[in-house]
Amino acid sequence: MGARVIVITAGKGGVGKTTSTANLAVALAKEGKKVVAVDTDIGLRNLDMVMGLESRVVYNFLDVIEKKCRLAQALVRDKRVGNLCLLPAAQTRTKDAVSPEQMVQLCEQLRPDFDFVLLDCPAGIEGGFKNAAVGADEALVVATPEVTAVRDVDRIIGLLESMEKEPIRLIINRFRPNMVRNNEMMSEKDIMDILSVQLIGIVPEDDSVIKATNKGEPLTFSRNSPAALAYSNIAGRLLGRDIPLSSLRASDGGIWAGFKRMLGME
Amino acid sequence: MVSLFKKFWGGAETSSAQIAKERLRLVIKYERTDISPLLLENLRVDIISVLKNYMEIDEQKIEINLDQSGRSVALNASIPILKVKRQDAGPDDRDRPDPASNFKTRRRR
Repeated sequence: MGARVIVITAGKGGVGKTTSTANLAVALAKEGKKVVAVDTDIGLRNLDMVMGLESRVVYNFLDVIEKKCRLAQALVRDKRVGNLCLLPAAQTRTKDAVSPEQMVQLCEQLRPDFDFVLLDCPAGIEGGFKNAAVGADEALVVATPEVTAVRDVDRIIGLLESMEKEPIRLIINRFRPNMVRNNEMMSEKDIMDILSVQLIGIVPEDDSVIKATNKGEPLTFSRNSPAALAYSNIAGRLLGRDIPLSSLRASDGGIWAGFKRMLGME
Repeated sequence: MVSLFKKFWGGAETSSAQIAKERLRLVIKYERTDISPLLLENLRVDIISVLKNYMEIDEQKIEINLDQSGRSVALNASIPILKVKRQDAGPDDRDRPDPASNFKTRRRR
C-alpha cells in the first residue's frame, strides 16, 4: 500500500522534534511496523546521535539523491529492534543542496519499502522546513507549553495547512503537571483553545530523556518512564488505537500518583 | 491590553499561565491574518467613511477588532447606529449606475 509519510516539525528549535522522531520510530518499530527515520537537517544533523547510530553512518540522503550510492547503502539498520532504519542527513553541506522536488522524489523512493517514513524537520520556516514537509502526507507538530513555542507552532500549522498536509496533530512536550496545577504553566486546554488542532499526546518533562540521549538509547526501548509511556501511547494513537489522554494533573493524589497510575496502565 | 494591566495591578492576581494565554491570543490574532494595527486603523477610517453614506453613527463608540475562533480569525465591527438616512441613500446618486442597465435589452429578430 505504501508508507505513511509524516513530517515532525515545530518551528521553534529545541522543543523535542528529534527526540519525538527517535522515540516514535522505535515505538512503531516495536509494534512490528517497518519504519525509516529520516534526518532532513542538513548541516546540523542530530537524529543519528539521539538514536545512538552515529558511529554507523556512512552515506546520507544527499548521496542517495545525487546517486553517489544506492539507498540501501545509506540506510542504517538499527540492530536493537528489527524493522527500523535511519536515513542520515549530510553534515558538510547546506540546506540549499537539495530541492523540494528532489525531496518529494526521495519520499516516493522510500514509500514502497516501509510502513512509516518519519521526517525529522529542522527548526525554522524556510528552505529546511519546506524541504522536509513537501514530501509528507501528514504532520506532527511539537510545542512546549511556553508562549514562544506555541506562537511558532501556530505559524507552522498555518504553513502546513497551506501546503495541504493533513492531518496535523499536536504533541505537547515537556509538560510539567505541578506547574500546570499551580497555574504557572499553560494547560493542554489553554494550548488547544489557541491552536485548535487535534492533540495526539502529552509528554511530561522527564530526566530520563537526557539520560537516554546521553546513551543513544531512545526511551521507548523500554516503557518504564513517564515520557516513554507517553511516546508509546502516541505511537498507538498513530496506529488508530483509542488510547485516552491521561490527565497528568491528578487532583486525586498528586503527580506521582498520576504517573504510577499511568505506568499501571501498561 | 489595558484590561490585562488592570488585572495585573488591580485586584485579584492573575496567574502567569493566564497572562501567557491572553498574550498569545492577542499576538496570534494579528499574526494569522497578517493585519497590522496600522492596517486595522486605516480600515476603521475607511469603514466609517463608507457607513456615513448610509447612516449616522456614533463614532466614539465604534469597536473594530479581530476575534479568534478555531483556526480562523474574524474581523468584528460593532457600530452603534444613531439614524439611518433615506433607505436608498448611497454615494452621489447621479454616479450610481442604474441596476436595470445590467440587463441587456433583447434584440428582436
